[in-house]
Amino acid sequence: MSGTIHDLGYQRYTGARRPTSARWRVIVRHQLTTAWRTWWRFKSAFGLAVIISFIAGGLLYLASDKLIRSLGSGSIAVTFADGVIPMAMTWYHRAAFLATLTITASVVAGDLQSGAFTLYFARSVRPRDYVLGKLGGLAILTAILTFAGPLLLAGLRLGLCESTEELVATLPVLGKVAILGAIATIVYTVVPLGFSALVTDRRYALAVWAAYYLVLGSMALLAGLVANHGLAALDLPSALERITLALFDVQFVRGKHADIPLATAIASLSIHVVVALGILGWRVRSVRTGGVGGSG
Amino acid sequence: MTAIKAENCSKWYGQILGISNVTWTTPGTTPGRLTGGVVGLLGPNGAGKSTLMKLMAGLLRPSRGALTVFGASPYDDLEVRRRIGYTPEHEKAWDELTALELVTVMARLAGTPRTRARDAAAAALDAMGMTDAMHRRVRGFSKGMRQRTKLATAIAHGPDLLLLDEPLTGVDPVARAEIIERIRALGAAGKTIIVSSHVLYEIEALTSEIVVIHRGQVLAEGNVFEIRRLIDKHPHRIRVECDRPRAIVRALAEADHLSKISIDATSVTLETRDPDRCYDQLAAAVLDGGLVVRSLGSPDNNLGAVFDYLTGTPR
Amino acid sequence: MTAMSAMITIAWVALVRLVRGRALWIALVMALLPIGYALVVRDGGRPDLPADLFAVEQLLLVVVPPMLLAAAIGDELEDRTTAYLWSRPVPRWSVLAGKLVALAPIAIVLVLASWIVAGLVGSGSAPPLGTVAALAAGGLVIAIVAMGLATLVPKHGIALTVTYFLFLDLPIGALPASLRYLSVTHHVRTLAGTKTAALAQLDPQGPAVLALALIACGWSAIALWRIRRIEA
Repeated sequence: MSGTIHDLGYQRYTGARRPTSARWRVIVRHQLTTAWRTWWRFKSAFGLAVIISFIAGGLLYLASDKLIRSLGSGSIAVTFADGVIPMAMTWYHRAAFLATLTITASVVAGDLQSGAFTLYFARSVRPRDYVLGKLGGLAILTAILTFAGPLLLAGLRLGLCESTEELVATLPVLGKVAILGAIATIVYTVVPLGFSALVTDRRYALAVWAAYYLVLGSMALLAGLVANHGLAALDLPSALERITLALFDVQFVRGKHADIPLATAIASLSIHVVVALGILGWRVRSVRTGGVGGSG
Repeated sequence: MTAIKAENCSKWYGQILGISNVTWTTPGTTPGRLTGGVVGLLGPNGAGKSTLMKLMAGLLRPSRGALTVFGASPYDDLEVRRRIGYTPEHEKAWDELTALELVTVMARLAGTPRTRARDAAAAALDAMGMTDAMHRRVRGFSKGMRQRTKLATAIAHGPDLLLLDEPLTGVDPVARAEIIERIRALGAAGKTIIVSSHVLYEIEALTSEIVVIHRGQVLAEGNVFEIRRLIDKHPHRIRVECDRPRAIVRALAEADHLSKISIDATSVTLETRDPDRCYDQLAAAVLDGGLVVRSLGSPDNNLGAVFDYLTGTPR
Repeated sequence: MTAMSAMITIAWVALVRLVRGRALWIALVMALLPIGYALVVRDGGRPDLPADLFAVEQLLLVVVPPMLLAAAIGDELEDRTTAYLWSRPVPRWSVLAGKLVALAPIAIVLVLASWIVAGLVGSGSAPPLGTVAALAAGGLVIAIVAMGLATLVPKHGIALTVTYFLFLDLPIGALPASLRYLSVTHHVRTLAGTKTAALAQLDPQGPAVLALALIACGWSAIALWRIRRIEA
């Protein structure tokens, strides 16, 4: 028996190839592209962040207006202006939560359901490339909400300073916003991504994340008020808020706020992130070793 | 009564064209008379086959024109949909149900009485060779088993019109032969069956009645051989394998109906615009020259060639 | 087949799929959360415990019914299994009604059971009947809203419903303006009688029932309009 291979004009690609170690960047780019595609995914949260920026920016402008300053003692108005940014941070975090609902909390489960892992692992994509790519892409999206927006406000705050002394005194706000933005970006990227790896159906992954964030979070906050303030650190917004207050040295005077120890808040967020990363790594590795494919 | 009648029927999905200005009628189907049959809906991917199927099944409403099934709009008329059995092209079904439950529910929704639905479902699954697996959940089924279950959902309620969208995709050769046989039997029993496919030999095995659809328009309809005869733009090829091909060339060289003659050591291929005359002259040449003919055939007198000629696809 | 029997058949399918899938168990775990909370804080002597629990149950109400309803409808539309339904002689409204009839009661029962058991565990007594009725009515309306949103955007039904209630319904419900009459959660609080006496006087319970009915009718109309236009 003899065989023949006919030359049909196909030639193996011989040009430059992206090194394996850099393929996670392709996943990052893909994540960004798909997230931007429809109104229901990233754009809704982005729109909310833009609205927040305008409102907070307006408040900042008003607080620094001469007329407003002259109404009360100057120091009170300046304090209000300084308080706008930490207040706006909590709003930006809500926009980030909205993005987790429409994108992050269903990413891995969605890939599992659609059989996308087959496409990834049929190529020379390693589990770590997948994890890095997803984390990178989603972190950029989250950072637009939790990092870029507040940084813009901080810039505006600096721009509205009337004297060099005030500018120098206000300069640290940039660093504080950057630190807080980075922490919020990590939390709002990694934790919901962990939830998306926990449940294999994307709709249920999303619901479990929402229940954890809303129901368990508010229970933890309430339990913190009743029993142990440390418990409230399980509520992600409360833990983030505690770090915000510590960084900006301000206090909220209205609403339910548990007096979470700063170390507990940091520990809670760290544990959340580590556990989520563990779940994510476990799921991707198990998919890689246990076979890939869609559910249907 | 005509089973399906499309008049200037068009369907757009926003800016995308599904089908355009389709006018087509199936042969009549009269209850009690075996006048049904199988019609193959043939076209490349994206030609508009599934759109036409969905319009016939009442899943879509025409953007322009009209499409009626048994004289009524399938989109608006529930009674007409009772007489239709449809299998979609995709595989997704209610995976949590067993095959028997799924087919029973579909039969119930199509109007089969509760008392009869389960038996009808079991019979339909049996007809599709799914008796052993009928109590298993669809989730664990292979592609072929899903296809057969889908077909069972289409036939369980005894419809007069069967619309089968790509019913043989993913089915193994043995099962394919069985399913083809069953579809043919249903057609012979008086059901009107429309089967869509882009796989030529599947349609060829099912029927010689075809509708060729391309870029949303009906290119041709009717018997495949009749259509082939009508395509005078493309000459018919006749290939003769014999001991002295040059003798045939000498005998037919002057024939005005021949447009091309190709010859090699063992065969000659003639391209003619008048096949009947060509066969007559060929027979005379063979007899006069005392040639030994090993084979005689028309390589393009089949569905594949018709399809390629119509769609302009080179083979 | 009558529309009613089609609805019953579709409801049966929805139930079987729910029981054999994971959603019911996930919802059950969610419903257990407030009970766990009541167990943890019952010895804390907090007088606001019932109010806290009710607030938690309201959040549960925002998650559980959408998870069941929006997922069921979204799956159907996204997986294109509607092709089977639309090709049968069943009116389209019966598909929505079947799912609502099967899944909304389960979601409501889960939330109510959670509320009653958490109340018994936390304060040693069953919660007032008014609060139970309020959660039941709220659960039904939220299920209908989820149904409407799932028909509008099948892929993001759950996310949109949670977002809608979190970012729109709850905030406008807290507004001291007539806009709050559009808020489901506001009316649930009114019916439950968890407001201060002054606020309760502002918002009597009778009109709250009517408002909830109107909101439910509005979203049902959206869902029915949309489902008639959806092509498989």
